[in-house]
Amino acid sequence: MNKQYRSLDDKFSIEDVGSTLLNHLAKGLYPADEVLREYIQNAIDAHRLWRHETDTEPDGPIQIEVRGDCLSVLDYGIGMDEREVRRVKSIAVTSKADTEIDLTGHKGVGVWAGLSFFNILTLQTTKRGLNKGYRLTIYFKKIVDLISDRADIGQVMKDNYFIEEYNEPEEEHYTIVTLQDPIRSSEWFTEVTRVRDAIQRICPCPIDPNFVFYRKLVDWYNQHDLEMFRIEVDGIPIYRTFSSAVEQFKTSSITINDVVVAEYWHAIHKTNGKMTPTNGQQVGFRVVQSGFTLGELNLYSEPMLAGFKALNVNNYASWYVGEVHIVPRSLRPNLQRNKLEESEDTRLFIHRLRKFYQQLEDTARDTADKRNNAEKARNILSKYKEYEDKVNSISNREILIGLVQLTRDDIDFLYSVKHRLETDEQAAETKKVVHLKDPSVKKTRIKILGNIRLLLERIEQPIINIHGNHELSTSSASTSKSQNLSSQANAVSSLEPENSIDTPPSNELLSTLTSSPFPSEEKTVEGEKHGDDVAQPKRTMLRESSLTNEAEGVTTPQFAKEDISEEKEIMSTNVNSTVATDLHETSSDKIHSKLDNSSLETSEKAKSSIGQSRKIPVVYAIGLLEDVLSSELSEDEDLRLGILTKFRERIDKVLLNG
Amino acid sequence: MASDNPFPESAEKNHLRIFHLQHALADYCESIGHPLSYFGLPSAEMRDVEMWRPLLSHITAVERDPDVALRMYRNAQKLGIRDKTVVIEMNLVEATKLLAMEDKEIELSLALLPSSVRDRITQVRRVSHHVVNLDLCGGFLYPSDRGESENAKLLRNLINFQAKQKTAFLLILTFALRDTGKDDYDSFITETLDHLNKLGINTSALRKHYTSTRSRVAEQPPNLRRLRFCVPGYLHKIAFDNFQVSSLGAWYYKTFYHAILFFEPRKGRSALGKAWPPIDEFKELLSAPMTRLKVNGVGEVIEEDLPAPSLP
Repeated sequence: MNKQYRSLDDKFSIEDVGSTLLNHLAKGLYPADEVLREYIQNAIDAHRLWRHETDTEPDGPIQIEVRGDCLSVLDYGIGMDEREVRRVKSIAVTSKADTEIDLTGHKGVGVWAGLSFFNILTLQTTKRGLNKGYRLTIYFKKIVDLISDRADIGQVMKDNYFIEEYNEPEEEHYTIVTLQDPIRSSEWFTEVTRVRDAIQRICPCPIDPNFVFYRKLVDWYNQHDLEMFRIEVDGIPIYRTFSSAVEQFKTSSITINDVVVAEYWHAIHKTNGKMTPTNGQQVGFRVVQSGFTLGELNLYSEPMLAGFKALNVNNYASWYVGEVHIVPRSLRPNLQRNKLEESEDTRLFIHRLRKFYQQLEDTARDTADKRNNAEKARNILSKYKEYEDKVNSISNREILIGLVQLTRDDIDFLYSVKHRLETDEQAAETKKVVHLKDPSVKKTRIKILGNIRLLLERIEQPIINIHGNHELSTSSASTSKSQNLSSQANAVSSLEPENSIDTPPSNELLSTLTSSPFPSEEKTVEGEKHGDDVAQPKRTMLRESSLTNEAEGVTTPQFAKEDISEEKEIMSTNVNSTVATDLHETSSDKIHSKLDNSSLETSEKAKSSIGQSRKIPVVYAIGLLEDVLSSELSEDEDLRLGILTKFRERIDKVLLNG
Repeated sequence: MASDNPFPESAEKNHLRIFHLQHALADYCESIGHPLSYFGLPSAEMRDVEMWRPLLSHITAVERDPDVALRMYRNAQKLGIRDKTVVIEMNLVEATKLLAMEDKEIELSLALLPSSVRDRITQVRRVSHHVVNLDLCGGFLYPSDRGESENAKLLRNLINFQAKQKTAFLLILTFALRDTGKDDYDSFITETLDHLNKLGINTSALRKHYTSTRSRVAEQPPNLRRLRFCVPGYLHKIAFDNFQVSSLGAWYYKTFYHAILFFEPRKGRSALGKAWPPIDEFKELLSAPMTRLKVNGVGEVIEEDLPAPSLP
């Protein structure tokens, strides 16, 4: 033993005892964790007083030492002198109500909270400036054994408590409460993890620095003068921990008649659904009074609560983490601190608190809807982006300034996407499909649609406009490239009188359009004529046996699926034949499903987007020229053909030169 | 605050801490490349720990007095080492017994303990301690009423515990010379020297020095001489199977004897079955210097060698 204790005389008088509290305590009306809370609360009040009186932080944290059969609560607060030690043994006679600062303990329970839980309590304390410390020892169990309705309090207490003094340096200031030999619920006091959990749940420990909104929350605490106290259990700091899987940190207050009765903060789960608490993390709301949690989480949130309007709640509170800090001192906890003392103020507060829960419920539902829609919008936007990229890649496949090559796959793709986007557009206009109304979704959709329409227009409209009737080409004896082209164009216009880009051509038409307007032989010859066998695009013939040229009155079998696929591959590498086959690909909506959307390689040159510069399909350019020549040089066919041939040569040259 | 610490603070003790023990710890720390874990019986003020704090990563303190333990918690907090400190509030012999037990044996013993004590014992059993610092009251060889001396038991337990960890460690021991047990020390000295005689070694000089009944031999009182022989000798004997023991020094001031021994796990072939003492190791132990610490007229601590014979 390092200390020598000297006994001090003291007597227990009736003034030391509150009316019924001792009986309550003896019967163990306090739950075990509240007993622990009571002693820590005393320590915190001592630290609060120290801060208040000295304007400095205490020397150390509140230390909880779990020590085998005893538990010690050490604080470096204001401490007590002899008079205060004599007073601290009082039951239900508190001196804290007299202080000007907001202390948590008001009930006067003080050191007696553990009366029915422990065998012995010792309290050692000293105050700065004293050269003495004091030790109060109370034999709880003996007192409980003697308590009865008829017992004389003086007799009960006699010989079951004593006060001693010992020497202590003047600079020391502390209070140490040691609770020895738990009689019941011992696990609450001897198991470190339980002690830690209880403190984390109940006490005003600091916020866990790892919490995602740590900075904001600390600022909020400071803004509202809410105190935090460092508490350590067996040397390990305890933090108030919350799940970090949250977002939307919000703060506000609950008011009654414009008077703030509570300040709150909350954050909602990042994803829809309840949060699962891990490692002591709090999920839901705690109602806090003077830093200490009151009752269970989500206090007063029951759907049915006597005297209050029913709540339409569905456990949405566990989508949140948050705290509601009660402001007025008039809203006091009951003895067990599991709810508020009953009063009109309390009733009003509970009413508002329940309204707050209801609002949270509604907000959570809205948030869930918004998230669902946002998720859908993100998904659709991502799909749209894919479309956009592909449309751009098609558009960027520039083979000549202003001329774009289109393959049948391209056109299939463009039609199917166009259809899809227009359906979406319609749904967005007429139905409650929120995600389709999303501004960025809408903007992207409109942009892609515009681009697709532009591309498709160039294929369809010019041909129809140029060749108002198909007789022009069908009556022509010429087998020139331009005539073939014209005949194809006429075929389109004649079979598609509405000229609707929404209406895909029939299979019949497709088979009609399968033939290339540029006979493959000629293409090959042309290629050779230009003497380029390196850079010139390959001019693979389409399978002529499977082609149909309605203009020539030749009937060939319908497209087989395999044929289409095969051709698709061929065409994707054939610039000139591609130019030609653009026509028959124009309206192949019916074979959409038969074609996959395999992407085509984009020309390295392709840079500009279709929306930025108008690009004209080669077929259109040639058709346009032919139209002009037909009207201007209708009498001189040789000259007309000559010009057309030269024009094609020029195109080929440009193509060859990249 | 009155202090009844049987090993009170003094200028010599402080000198020893700063100029010898700290150096030994620092050297060991440097050799293994990380801070040391400490096992000991610190005072409530934890002076040793306070001084060596930068060299320590973990502190296991054993203290059975709840009042002292409580102050230890406060002081550890003040020193900023509370999170590194585990206080086992029980009798040292019991604590070392639990530490030395085999895993399969300990379950039942732990089950009888409060959960927090159980947790701490379990935690400490996993720690390899590099420094063991014990201030021991009473002798360590004399039999207690129940048989073996409590101190002998705890030293044996500690060495067994450390042997399980297979970790080299420094053992710092402090004894008060006034403690009883001289007969048992004498018996141990005589038995050991007789054994050496049988091996053909001339032990007359040793016998003359260590068993003399004169009050002072070479400025050394009888109990100091006994401790000087018995502490390293006995520890070497009980650790022989697992450790090679070397002395890093011994000191004497006022009425206290301090020794610092280095226990290194035996390398290569086990010593099992070999005869104790191995001459070379024992000779080295007995040759270790002993220093007397004394405060001079101006308050300085001066050092003076105290000679003793060794094996030829």
